Amino acid sequence: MSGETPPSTRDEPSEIDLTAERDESGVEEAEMEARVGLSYTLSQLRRDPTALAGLAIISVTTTVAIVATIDAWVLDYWFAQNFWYHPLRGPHAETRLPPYGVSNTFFDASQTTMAHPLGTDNRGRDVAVRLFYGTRIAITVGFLSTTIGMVGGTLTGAVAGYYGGWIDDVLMRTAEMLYAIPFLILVIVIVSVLDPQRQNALSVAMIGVGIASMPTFARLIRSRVFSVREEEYVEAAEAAGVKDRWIILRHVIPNSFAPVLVQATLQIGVAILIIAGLSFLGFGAQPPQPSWGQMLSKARGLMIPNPWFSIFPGICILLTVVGFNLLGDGLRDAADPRIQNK
Amino acid sequence: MSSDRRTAPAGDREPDSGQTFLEVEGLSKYFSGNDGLFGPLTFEGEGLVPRPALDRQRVRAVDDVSFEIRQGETLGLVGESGCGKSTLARTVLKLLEPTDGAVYFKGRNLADTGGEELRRMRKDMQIIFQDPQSSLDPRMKVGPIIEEPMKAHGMLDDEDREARTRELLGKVGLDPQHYNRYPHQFSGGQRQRVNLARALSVNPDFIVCDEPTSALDASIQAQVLNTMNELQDEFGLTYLFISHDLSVIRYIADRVAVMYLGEIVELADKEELFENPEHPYTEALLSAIPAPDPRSTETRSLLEGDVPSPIDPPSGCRFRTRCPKLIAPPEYDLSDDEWDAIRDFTRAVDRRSPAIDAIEADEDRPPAELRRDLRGTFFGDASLRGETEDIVEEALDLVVEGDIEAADDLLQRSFVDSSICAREVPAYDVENEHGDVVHRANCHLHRDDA
Amino acid sequence: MSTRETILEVENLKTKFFTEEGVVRAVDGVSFDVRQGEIVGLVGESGAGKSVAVQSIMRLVEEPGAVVGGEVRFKDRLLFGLEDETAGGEGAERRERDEMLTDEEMRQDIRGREIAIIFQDPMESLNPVYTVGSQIEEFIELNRDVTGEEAREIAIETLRDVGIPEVEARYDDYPNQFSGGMRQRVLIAMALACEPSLIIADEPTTALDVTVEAQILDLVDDLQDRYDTSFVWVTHDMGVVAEVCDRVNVMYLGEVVEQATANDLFHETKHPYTRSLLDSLPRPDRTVEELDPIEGVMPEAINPPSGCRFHTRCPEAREVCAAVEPDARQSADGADDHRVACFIDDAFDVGYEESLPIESETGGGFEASLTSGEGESR
Repeated sequence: MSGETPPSTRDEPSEIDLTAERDESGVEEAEMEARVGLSYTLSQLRRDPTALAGLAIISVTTTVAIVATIDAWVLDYWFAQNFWYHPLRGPHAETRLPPYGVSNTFFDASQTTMAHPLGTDNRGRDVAVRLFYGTRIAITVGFLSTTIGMVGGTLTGAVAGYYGGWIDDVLMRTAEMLYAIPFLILVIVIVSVLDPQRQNALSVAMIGVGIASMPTFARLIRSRVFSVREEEYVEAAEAAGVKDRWIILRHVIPNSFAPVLVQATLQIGVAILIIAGLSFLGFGAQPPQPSWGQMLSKARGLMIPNPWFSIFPGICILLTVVGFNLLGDGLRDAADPRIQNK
Repeated sequence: MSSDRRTAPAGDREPDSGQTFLEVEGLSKYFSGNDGLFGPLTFEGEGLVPRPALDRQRVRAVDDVSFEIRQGETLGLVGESGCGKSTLARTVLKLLEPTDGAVYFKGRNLADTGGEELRRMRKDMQIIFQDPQSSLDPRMKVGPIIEEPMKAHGMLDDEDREARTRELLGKVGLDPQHYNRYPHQFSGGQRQRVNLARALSVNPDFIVCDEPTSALDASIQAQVLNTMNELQDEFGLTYLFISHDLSVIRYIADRVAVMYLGEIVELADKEELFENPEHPYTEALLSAIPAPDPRSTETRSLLEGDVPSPIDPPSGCRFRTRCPKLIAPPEYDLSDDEWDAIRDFTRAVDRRSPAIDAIEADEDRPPAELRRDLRGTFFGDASLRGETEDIVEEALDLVVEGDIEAADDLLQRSFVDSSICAREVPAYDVENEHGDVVHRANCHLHRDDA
Repeated sequence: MSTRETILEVENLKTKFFTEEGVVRAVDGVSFDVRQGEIVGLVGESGAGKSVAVQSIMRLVEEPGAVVGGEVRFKDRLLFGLEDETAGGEGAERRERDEMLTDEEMRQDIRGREIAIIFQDPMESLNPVYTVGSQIEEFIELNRDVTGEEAREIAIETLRDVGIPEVEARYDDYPNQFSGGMRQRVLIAMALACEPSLIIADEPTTALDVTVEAQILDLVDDLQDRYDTSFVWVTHDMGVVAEVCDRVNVMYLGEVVEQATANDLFHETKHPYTRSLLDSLPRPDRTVEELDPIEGVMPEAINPPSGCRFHTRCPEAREVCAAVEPDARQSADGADDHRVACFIDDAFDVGYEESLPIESETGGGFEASLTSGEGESR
């Protein structure tokens, strides 16, 4: 690296030393990162086209969600105002207009318009715009509920794994009891208990999914913590009189975190699906707030002759979930040193 | 100090000179393999509904160990893997909760302390581990790693801590510039130096070194050992140095304790222990090391068999099942050769050694011939007398018939169980040849009437 | 012993690893031979290339590594050899010679059958999900033309030979039910089962306790008397070398620096590296006041020092050592077969005496290349 130093400066040894020192603390250090850990995992990921496809889908969805959020908060629903109903015919637009270029019993293809590329629903609202706002909920809910589950689960699992004994028994047996209840039912129970009036149905559903996913994270990190706590650096910290809290946060969790991160990616997909399911059942986002699950739910009586009511939200859910799964799988492979495709 | 288990307190134990720095008294650590909610529950018996029972099976990793360490000295602790030396190290520092016994560190019993008090006391006692790979957090830079103990004990402010860390790096033979590097950028020897720096950061008096150089190459090991010696002089450190390598112990220690199966079998001044070993296990260990000299003609006395399980260690002296000097039971009047033959035969049967095994498996030859062979292998043509002869004959019959279990039972009952080695736990002090420190050699060969 | 037939001949063996960081010259021109019934030691610190050397002999070097030069002869067969060593230069592709054994022949005729290998970690060499007996049996069936009952009999007999108690009862036990020493005995039994003429033992006692090591060394001694097998004994432990080896090759950074009988190596030491290595050992048989270790750490094999590779750490280094590379030669005043690669020896005439000493570059053991691995470069 210091080989680029011009020959003239080579005369003075101290000069070389200085350059070498500077170089090493910069470029070289980054390159010499160990073959474990996050940055190495990410560098492995770059060689995996499927994971990259997943990453692309997620980036698009997330960008859309961010734009929709900005639109809602800053631009005062500019998109909705301009595209929700037919721009020319206002709120009295045609209901159940098919997507552009598609005909059915009520409309022929010439009547469809690019103004409603995915058609309108039974109240004449533009499907594309509703999907656009629905992205917000899917992504927010996916990320937030997973964060709740991840943080809660990681802390619980790390504490259980680090201390072992009765603390472990109590925490993990509780987690296993939660684990024994079917996920969706558990979420519904949590939602019903926390918010019987359904005033904050969406936030509560999000928290519910988060809590319900905690056992998964707890179990996952606990098994890693069992091996990490046997590492001598943990013992050394203990022997040096470092406080347990600090040991758990500084040594144990960072060194057990890789599988959790993979699981979190997969969990976001699961959460999106679950929240969609909840909305479908009426526990999630409440009308008129547009969400993909709720759009599906409303479409269920109108499938024929209006299949697009359900097809498009379905595709959105599918793509997003697949995106997170692809990335999660890729991360898992990249983090696993046994799978090395060179 | 006076412990009742000492069956023969030969001479006085050294009176407390006021210099005792660390004293370990009757320390034990048992592990129970199953500590979950229903862990100790096991099921016995056969049939549809087995009887539940509470399992009390415990691994006696360290059992009633006592020793002391004086200020500024290095006590070497040597033993084979699985003898409990690492467990002992961790129990002394109360990283593991002792099952029984006391550890007095500067007069304070660590067994009674806990929580915040213990945490503060840790400032004065540190530990260095064997594996230079796993003893440093791979995600932390070397600087913060060394600073961590100081931070935990609220020593200095950020700036001074960094200055001290850089100074320590120099002291242990690294470059102060290495402050910002990650552990994986160092070689094994260098990482062990980082460990040293971390241990030294809080100015401890006492450092437990758990095989610190075992993972290093010879030349690197020598470098690190020399550094450790220099640091000991400079900072007035006291070491408890654990190793399986007697050569390293001979180089670094002042006094040496030898452990076998959870107990200390011999404890003496270094020179005394190496030149005048008084316990058969120490002798065996010493003769087993291959000396780096092809001309050394010392004949090795080989220990046979494996170390017994610490779950159910042998009664009396734990080394008796492999000891080449097992004492004959007093009721028989045997010559040394006769006893050697009987002992070897008893062991061979007990271990189902290949010689015995081959007899059992051999189906081609007539039993009488096998029997003659077997007798020839172990006893030559010597004839034994009286009761001994009867017992050996009966055992030979049983072996040839294939009932090795019964033969083993008979031999153990007749020749082992009544030996003093099986009946009493040995604890003796012996005469010194070198130095004037008490030489403890827990072997019944040193009993008064021997 | 010197009159006995040479069975393995390694000449100028070179193995390189082509990694992202550069080309690692793990083995760089190693020559030695093994005669019938002798134990030849290959000794050096980790990173010296001793394991790679034996893997190269067995043609077990894996990607990204490759044997790139030299010749390995076993009895009258060519295990490795390339066309036209002299022409072409470093970079040119060289074809394997026709008489060189194919991979198939290596597998069928050589490995296991003629040359067996014992690794350091017996747990890794035995499959934990199969019983010990079945693994030996399978190995025997593969390498000797016997089947079923017969293979089992041979297996039991060999296991008994290596001192496993209660063989028939333990035949169906799994590897984890054996102690470390017993597992190593099982591996030795496996190696012996096909009555090979050469056994390569790669640090076979390193993971064992001294008393168990003593048992194994004793066993090897005994078996060697009975079977007259030759051994290549790879180790870092000078004590073990002194104990078992007849002749010894000391390796440093991919090269053999000294080659002698065990007795000469320890008592007529010629190479400064060997001497430093011996000086840095704490002794079990006498109290040493101060160890005198070699300074610094072994440099990396990616970009080894010029000239003599040891010159960066050598207390005797002169300027000529950095400029010219010594080859291993018959020592001028040593016994027959005592070869040394150091200009101090009178066998060389490169003006060592007149050359100026090199200022020691190394200090407290840290200034040499930071990342230089003590880890084995595999």
